[in-house]
Parts: sequence; C-alpha cells; structure tokens
Amino acid sequence: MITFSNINFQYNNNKTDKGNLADINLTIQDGELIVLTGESGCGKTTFTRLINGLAPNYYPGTLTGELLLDGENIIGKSVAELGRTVGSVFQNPRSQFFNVDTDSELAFAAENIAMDPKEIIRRLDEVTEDLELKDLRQRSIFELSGGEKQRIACGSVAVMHPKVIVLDEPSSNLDSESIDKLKCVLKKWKKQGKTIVIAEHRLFFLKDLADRLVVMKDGRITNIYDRAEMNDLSGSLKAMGIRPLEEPELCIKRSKEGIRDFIRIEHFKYSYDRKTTALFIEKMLLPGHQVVAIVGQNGAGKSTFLKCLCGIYKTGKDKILLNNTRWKRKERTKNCYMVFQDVNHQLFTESVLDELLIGMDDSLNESEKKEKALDILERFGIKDKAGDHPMALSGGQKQRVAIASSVAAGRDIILMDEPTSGMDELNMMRLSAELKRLKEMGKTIYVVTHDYEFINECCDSVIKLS
Amino acid sequence: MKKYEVKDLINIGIYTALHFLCIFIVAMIGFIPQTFAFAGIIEGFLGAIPIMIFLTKAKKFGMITIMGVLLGLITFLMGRPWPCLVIGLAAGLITDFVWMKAEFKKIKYGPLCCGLMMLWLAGMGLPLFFGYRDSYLANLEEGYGKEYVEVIRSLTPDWMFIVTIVIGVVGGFLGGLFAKRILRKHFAKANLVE
Amino acid sequence: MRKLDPRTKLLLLVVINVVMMTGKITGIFVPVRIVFALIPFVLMMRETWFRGSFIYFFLYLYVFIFERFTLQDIHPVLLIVLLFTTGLFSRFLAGVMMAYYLMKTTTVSEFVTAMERMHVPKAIVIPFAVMFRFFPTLKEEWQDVKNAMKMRGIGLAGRNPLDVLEYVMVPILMSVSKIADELSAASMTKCLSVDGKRTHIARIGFSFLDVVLVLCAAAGLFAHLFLGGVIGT
Repeated sequence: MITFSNINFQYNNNKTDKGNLADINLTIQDGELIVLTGESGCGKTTFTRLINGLAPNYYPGTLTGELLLDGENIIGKSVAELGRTVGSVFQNPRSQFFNVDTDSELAFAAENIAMDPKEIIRRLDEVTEDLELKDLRQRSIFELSGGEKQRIACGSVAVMHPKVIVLDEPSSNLDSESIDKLKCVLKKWKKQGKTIVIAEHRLFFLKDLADRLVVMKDGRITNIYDRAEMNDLSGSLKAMGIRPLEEPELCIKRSKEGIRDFIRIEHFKYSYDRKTTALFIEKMLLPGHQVVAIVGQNGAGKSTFLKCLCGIYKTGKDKILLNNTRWKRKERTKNCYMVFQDVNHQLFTESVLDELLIGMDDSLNESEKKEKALDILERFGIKDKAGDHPMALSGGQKQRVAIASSVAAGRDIILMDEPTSGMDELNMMRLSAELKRLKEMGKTIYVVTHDYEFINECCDSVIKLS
Repeated sequence: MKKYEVKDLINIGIYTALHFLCIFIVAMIGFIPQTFAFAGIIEGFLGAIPIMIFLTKAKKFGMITIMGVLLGLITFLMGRPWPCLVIGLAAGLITDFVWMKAEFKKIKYGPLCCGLMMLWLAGMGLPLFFGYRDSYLANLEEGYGKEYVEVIRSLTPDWMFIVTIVIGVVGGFLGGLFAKRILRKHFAKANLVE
Repeated sequence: MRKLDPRTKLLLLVVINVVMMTGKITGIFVPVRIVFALIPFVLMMRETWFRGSFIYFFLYLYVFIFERFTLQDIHPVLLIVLLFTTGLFSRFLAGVMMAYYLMKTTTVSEFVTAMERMHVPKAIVIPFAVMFRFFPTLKEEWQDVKNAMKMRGIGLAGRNPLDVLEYVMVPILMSVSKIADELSAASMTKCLSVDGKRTHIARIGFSFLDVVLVLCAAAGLFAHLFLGGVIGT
C-alpha cells in the first residue's frame, strides 16, 4: 500500500525540471492500477519519481510530507534501494537500456543486486514465458523496434519481482500494435497482484485496466474517478485538456478540397543494402493541398517513405511525378521539409530567430529576412521567444519552431513523423489548428501518425501503407 | 575525494566514446594516421569538443584520469604496444591535475586541458616510431649495410614523434577554444550547464 | 566449440605484444616468435575466418623470409619499403591480429564479467561498458543529424566549415547529454550502484585450450624476460 500524506515537492532547478507537487494526499491499495493524467507539466511524472526515489535523489528538490510504502517511510531511501521493490519503465525506449544485448538487459537489475546467476536465469525464462519475449531473446537491442525495446524494458523490470511498478508515459513512442502488447503486459502484472502507477496522456488502452483515474493540474489532484465514473467521462475530459478514454474510430469527411493526384508515384524502391528491400511501391497517388495522414503497422516503412519522399534517402531508379512533371531527388529536397519525431536533431542555432533565418534563401537582404521571420513567428505565437535558444523551449514549442522554419524556407510540402507522440490534448489541438492554417496557406502536409483522434481532428485523407 | 555517482560514470563512458569516435573518424578519413601531420591537428581539434563538454560535468578528481585509462585501454585492445596504457593514464592524470587546480570549474583552463588530454594519442603512434628501428635494424645491418638502415631510421626520426604529439596538443587547444565558444553560445544560453 | 575465456585472450594479447615488440629475433627467439605468430593464426582458423587467416599467414611468411635472407639487386626505394614494412609487421602484426580476434570473439558482457572477476574497480568497468553501448547510438545520432542537415539544406557548400562543425556537433552533444541523464536515471532504478558486488549470467571459464595457451604464453614470456630476450641485454 502506498500512502502520500501532505506531500509537497519543489524542484531545485525550476528552469529544466517542471511539475512541482502541492498538497498531495492519496492512498493506493495493493494490486490497484492507478492512472495519473493531466496536461503537460501537471506533476504526474513527478508523482512517479517520488515512488521510485528519483525525486529527490536524482532530481533534487525540497520534499515535505510523508510517503509510506507498506507502512515504511521511503523518503530518504536511495533509488537503488527502492529499485528492489519498485520497478520503473520510462518513456523513451532508446535511452533506458544499459546493455547491448537483450539477455544482458533482462538480467541487468538482478545482476546489480548480486542475485545468484542460476536464479537469474530461471527468472529470465519465467519472464520470457510470461511476457512472451521468446522472439526477442539473444538479440542485439539495436535491432529492435521501439515497441520491442519497451517490451524488454518491461521484462527487465519483471525479473526483479517488484511489488510496485511505475510507468512514465510508456506508450509515447509506440504504435497501436505495440500498445496492445503493452496492455497485455499490464494485464499480466495486474493478475500477479502488482501495484501499478501509470502516468499517461493516451488513456484509451487503459480504460479496462484502470481501477482509478487521477486527474492532476498544476501539481494538485483535481479529480479522482473510479471504474463506474470513468464510463461517463468523455466530454468532461476534453474540457480538462485530457485525451479521451475511448479510442475514436477513424472518421474523416471526404474532402473535396485539394488536388487528387498531386504526386504520382509509379516506381519507388528503397533498400538498405543490396539484399533487403525496405520499401517497394508500385503505384500510388498522393493528394495535394490537404493534410494527409499516413498510417500502417510498424515496420511498414512509413518513416522510410517520408525520408525517401523528401530526398534524404536515395531511392535508385524511381519515377515520381509532381503535377505531372518529373520530380527528381534534388528538387524534392528543395520542395519538402520534414519535421522529425525527435525535433532536437534538427535545431542547430542559438536563437529561434536564427533558426528561421538559416533556411531562408538569399533573394532577400538581411533586414527583409529578419522582418519576414519575425512575422512568421508571430503567426505561430512564439514571437516572444525569438531571442531564446531553441533547446530551452518545451517540446511543443520546439516543434512549432521547426514548422515555422519550414514556412520561412518557403517549402510547400511538409512531412511530419509522429508529431503527437507524448502530446496532451491541448497541444494536439493546437497542432491540428496549425496544420489547418498551413493548408490554407497552400501547403501540403503528409503526416505519419497512429493518433486517430488527431487524424479525425485535422486530416482530409488517409493513406495506408503495408 | 568525493564519491562518484552513477551519473559520473555514465558521463565518463559517453564522452570517452564520443571523443574516441571523433579521433577515429579523422584517422579513417585522413590517410595514414599519425604520419600525416594534418591528421594530428584535425583530430585534436575535433576531439577537444567532447572533452570540453565533459569538463563541465567532471566535478570530481579522477574522472578525467579514468577517461585516460579507458582511452589507453582501447588503444591497447586495438593492438598497439602496451606502453599506450601508461600513456593514456598519464595523459588523464596530468589533465585531471590541471582541472583540479582550476577547481573543476574555471573554464578558461578548459582549452589547456583539452590540449593536454591529447597526449594519449602518442600511444596510437608508437608502432611507427619505436620497437623496431634500432634493435631490429641492427640485426638487419649485417645483411643490408649501414646505408639502408640509416635511411629507414631517417624516415621516422625521434623528433618527428615529438612533433606529431605537439601538433595533436595544439590541435586540442584550438579545439578547446572553439568548444568554449560553443559552450557559451549554446549550452550556457539554453541553461544546460553552469 | 568451447569459447576461450576473455582473460586468456587478454593475457595472450599482453604477452604477444610484449615479446614481439621488444624481443630479439635471433637464436631461441626464432621459434618463440614463430609460435607467438602462429597463435592468432590458429585461433582465427578455429573460428573459420579463412580469408583473414591466410592473408595473415602470408604476411608473416613474407616477414619471416625477409628476416632470414638478404635480397640483392633490388631497387633501393623498393628495398626501403620492404624493410620498413617487414619491421612493422614483425613487431606488431601478431599483436594487432590478436587484438582483432579478441574484439571479434568477446561480447561486452563477457568482457565486463572478466574484468569484474579480475577485480577491476567498478569506476572503470561501468564507463567501459557504457562506451561500447554508446558506439552504435552515437552512429545513429550522427546519421539523424546528418539527415536533418541534408533536409534543411545546410551543407559544406558555401559555408564556413567551422559553422558547419557547430551545426553538426551541437545537436549531437545536446542529444547525448539528454540520453546520459535518462540512462543514469533508468540505471539507478535498476539498482546500479558505484560500489557493491555484482553477479553475472555470462559464462566464462577455463578449458583445456585455455590452459595450453596460458602455458605457452608463460613459457614465451619467461624466455623473453629471463633468457635474455629483451633487446639491449
């Protein structure tokens, strides 16, 4: 049983660590599955960090109040000590594994507490069976997809037989198939009687599993709903800036706008090396002047498709036509702009303004460029950040800077790779509005996404890759 | 000496890896490593950048020394002669002392530290200069005559070894200056570093 | 086929390195050098790396012959090149091959296990493991940044190379810094600590071949140190 009594927590470093907590009082029963949700910065991640000890040990701050785990006060215990009973699964599959191969990663925590190797191996086999990891054993972690990495992360937690498991936005980077698998893991753990605390934005996969839904805002708990109450919620959640509990059906109105065969692809092939073909498209029509969603299972090559389209990847002999004229790779690089899933890789300069300026062509002089850039920033609502360093902004703001740069660079076709990963309702709606505005400016937008709510909100067509 | 934390050890690993890759990439592109003077300066320059960032995270004595040990170890595992281990350790230790004198925070000593750290590269260049010139050639002299042996000796004289090391150090220093500017321009501005 | 213990491979690397580099090449050291040169060859053959083994074999054969017989009537420049390369190979080729073999046949986990069994301090083992875990990640990061630059049209053309270097390094450094933070947090929740004992599931241990090789190495080293193998003695 976990008991929060009058917990207040302030991060020391308020510039980078957001999500202070105030007056938290909550008791979590053994075997309960609690879902914490709320807008970005509401404190749900901080909540999980208190349980596994990362706050205040790793993210320093002032903590008052009492936090009991099975009657014992865990404030003051080290993260490593708590790690024996509390397992943690994090948001980013890429940065939470320490080892190079899956078996070592699964055994890692157990090795760290000097468990007998025979016992470790026994538990490895047990967890492999339980969580269906057989196809992932003895492989290099670098070959795995995001979803597979997350399954290994869950496996490495399970080996420790923890009483409590906290998960911080575990579904952020996952596609629907992987989310289903995650759901199975959670079901299994619930059956084993583990206490589970999940901080999440996307709630639909948790609807049948959650015992209680805890809504937070500005570091406080505002609402708590139990199973019965959760069924009546849909409307009110949206008003609170939270994603719905039900996964929406894909339902977009067939749009009459735009050009139907803006881009015609006749022969399109991409291979990593001479042997494996990653992508092969015989014939495809892409609409123009619309917001088009591109969906498909993981591994279908959606990201690869985008990268080939904008000219990052060489496709060999291809035949792609734009408005019925041959569209070569060099042209594609000039016309297209891609917003990556990890925007950090595409921000290079020391100020938001510079970020827009470096992409602009030289037909304007310095002051004209600056004026135009500030104008664009105004339209995107970030003019006041013009002098700030791009890396100091929030995730949503960084994304806006990237999109603003595309407008500044005068590129008409914008490609986006999973832009709503880990986004709360508010930011998702804001992005939808932005994309609709871009469409009105005459741009064409292709979005790879599996966020059905988002698609319903702003997309005109959907294309499925398989 | 303050105790290390997990974060410190992970930082050592990451920045050593990044530093090594910077050097390695130049060595791959630049022709024969260590005999080509330019290679040293570029390696030093590029390699200094991760080191500078690492310095801002190295707040305890010994971290840079461990970096040196690891670099020496990798050099050894690549098949270079065993003195490279000692050289790596020495380079790390010297740099660590200088950074300690700078109280682990006076960034104006940063470029100097970057330069000194490049001393570990001497280990990589050992095969070309040592181990076979004198003794080995002495054995061959009987067969080939002094003149040939002299020519060989003159191809890789001792002073050239010193020169390549110095070039590496200078490259490191210059790279450190460049990296200092990056630190100020980006990291300080984005509040990612003290 | 039973794998060699990493510690054996490490010992071989050290001994081969020392003996080949500073040892005399005459007298009893001829067979010593031959044996040591052959060890990597045999090990590589055992792994069925035929192409590599044969190239290595022929290179050493060339060295061996060249050391014994003097060639007359050869163009002086060619002779210089031959002398240079012979020296280099004779001293260092075996060591390099042994090192290559070690790296290719030992996984990071096995290496870490061996180091911890040898009581290497955690302060060295952990960073070592992290290094190897990061090489592929850094490659991925670099490719991502390179793609982004390509997409945005930021290349070497018409720009100050130092600016381009800045554009490349800054995102990588920032990203790496973030990954370091997240990895540290995650590792701590998995009970990683800077002190304390660890166990290992990687199986390493000595077999008959290990013993044979260790004895060879010991014998060679003994001859080198005590039977006047060091140059200058």
